[in-house]
Amino acid sequence: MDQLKQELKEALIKSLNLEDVTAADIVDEEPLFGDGLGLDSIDALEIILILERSYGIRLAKPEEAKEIFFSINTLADYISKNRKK
Amino acid sequence: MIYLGADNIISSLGFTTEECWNALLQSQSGLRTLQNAQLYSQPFVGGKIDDERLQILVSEQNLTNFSRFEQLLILSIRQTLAQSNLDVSQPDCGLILASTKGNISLLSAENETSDELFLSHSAEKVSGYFGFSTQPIIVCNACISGVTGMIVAKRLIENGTYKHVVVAGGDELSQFVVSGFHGFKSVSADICRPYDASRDGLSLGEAFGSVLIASNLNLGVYTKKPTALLGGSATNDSNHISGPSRTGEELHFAIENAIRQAKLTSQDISFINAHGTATAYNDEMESKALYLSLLSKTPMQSLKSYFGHTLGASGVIETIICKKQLETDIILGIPTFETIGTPHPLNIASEHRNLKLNFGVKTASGFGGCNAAIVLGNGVGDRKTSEIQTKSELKIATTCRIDTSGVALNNEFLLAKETVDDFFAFIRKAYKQLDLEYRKFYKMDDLSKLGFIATAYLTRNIKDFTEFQPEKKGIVMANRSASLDTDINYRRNLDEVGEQEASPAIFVYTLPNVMLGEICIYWKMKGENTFFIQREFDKSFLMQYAEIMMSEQDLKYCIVGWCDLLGSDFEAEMYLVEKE
Repeated sequence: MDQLKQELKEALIKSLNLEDVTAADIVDEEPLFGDGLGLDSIDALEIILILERSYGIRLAKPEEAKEIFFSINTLADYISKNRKK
Repeated sequence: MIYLGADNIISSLGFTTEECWNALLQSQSGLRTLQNAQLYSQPFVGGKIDDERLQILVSEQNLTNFSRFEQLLILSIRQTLAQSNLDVSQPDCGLILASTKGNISLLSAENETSDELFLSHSAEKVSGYFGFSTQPIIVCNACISGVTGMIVAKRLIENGTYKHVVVAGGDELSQFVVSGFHGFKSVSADICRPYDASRDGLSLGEAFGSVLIASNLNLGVYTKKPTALLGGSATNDSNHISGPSRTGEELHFAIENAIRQAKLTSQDISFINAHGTATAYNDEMESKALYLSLLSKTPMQSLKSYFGHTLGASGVIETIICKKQLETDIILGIPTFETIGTPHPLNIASEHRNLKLNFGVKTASGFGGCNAAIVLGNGVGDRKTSEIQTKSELKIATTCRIDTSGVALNNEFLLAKETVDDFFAFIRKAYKQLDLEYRKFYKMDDLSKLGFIATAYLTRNIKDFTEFQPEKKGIVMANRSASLDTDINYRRNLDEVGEQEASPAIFVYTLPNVMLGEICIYWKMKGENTFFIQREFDKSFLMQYAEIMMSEQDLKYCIVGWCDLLGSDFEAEMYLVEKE
């Protein structure tokens, strides 16, 4: 699980152009959107692509993602339960 | 007064305004399931112009030396001009072209920088074909481009630059755009359903439209009930580059300003033709805006379920349909509409209605957070609309120039670009020099980064610029390459990873006015934004236009200038203009 979280943080930093942010700066339980990392709806679409590309998980609508994408914890939890690769 | 004269629409519903209008009267939609691998690997619902019929017209008119985009523009303008006896070679006759993506379908790995990828190329070819003697004006302002084109025409006639203007708008369906909107997960599975509770996204369409705008009634075909262009205004949400305002306040400001300019009140408005893309958030925002404008009970419509979202053309063709409705006293329904699905009620019918129509409001909203509204209406008699006062004193408060040598503010050299530094390394140094802390900066495309940094320098010594009234700060800018630099990135990304995985974060920057949106978000600017495409920086035109806009829209500040970037070449020359 910890490895998955680390992997996710690195993927987010790279795909979402989080310049000046390191994996250690992203706290597992803190919100990714809004206040936390300041991600927005376009970032959510990019995370959907990460899920498809790296874990074979398809989310049809970005709205479904709200709870899943809440934090690194919720994201990692969802991926570990639903991953196809 | 300014009138709407002869016009033409080429769309999935036909090749003339009459054909399209008759299809609308019969509640026909031009949207079909398209199975066209050149546009998208999967079938999708969209509105496509009949290519067989187009081919016949192209060979009849001998237009094989033009791209499909240019052919359709020419065919549309040809029909508009054929209905009038206008001599377009006169120096008082202008051409305004509104498009978001021009010849984007010609962009490929083998063809990334040829001249045809620049909107000026198409505009000059089209203008040359008809023999216009004035320089074509190009508006590239996302999905409000067409409505903005109308506003630009009105102002340039009012200030005496032109007596007659042909406003033409067009955008093709292309793999580039179709993939981009699919990447945004905003394409409806079926024909789109504006304002309906079951709406699930937009339908894309292609269209080309043109309309003659003139200050006298003797040109073109005018009916007994001429339609006048009475007011126009634009605003920015200052909220998000792709998501619409959460409050609808900014579209409301644009509507309110346009109605006031027309010397009317909301009670005089007979109907509203809104943008109505049928995405959840757009339609929600519009219902809030109309509520704030006291127009919730006024009959309204969107034409997207007939034509699809035709991007840069939409403002032009939908304005022409507004004119048809005003002429015939028929208000079109939305055939796909069943149950209202917006936070505020709207007066929508699925059937057409006969209603005495005096004045209509046409609105549009687009990426970059832009909104625009115009008021059209009964042009009988000599209604006096607000006149532009151009007496206000403008001064250039600050000047910023950024190019491959470095940054200069008010002619003082502040930062040199080291030869070893690429654009990113250089702009990052500027960002650090400005002591900014804004995470979103790194997500922007290079063009936006350049415009953003130039604005940061321009405004850094202006006391309380950010806090100053948002509605009183606007932008008028231009460049040569539009968003071609990012278009190339998106095209490469599309070729590399395929349609399903192409990056929405790149696609969202494939409109140059998104840079203006980024500036508006950070510096809290909600006044009008306009983005022009020019082959060379025409400072005097932009300054003159900014002056009209600042006076008409009562702006205190306007960022005016040039911001262009393509590959390793970049140049920004921007001014903060202040009204004293």
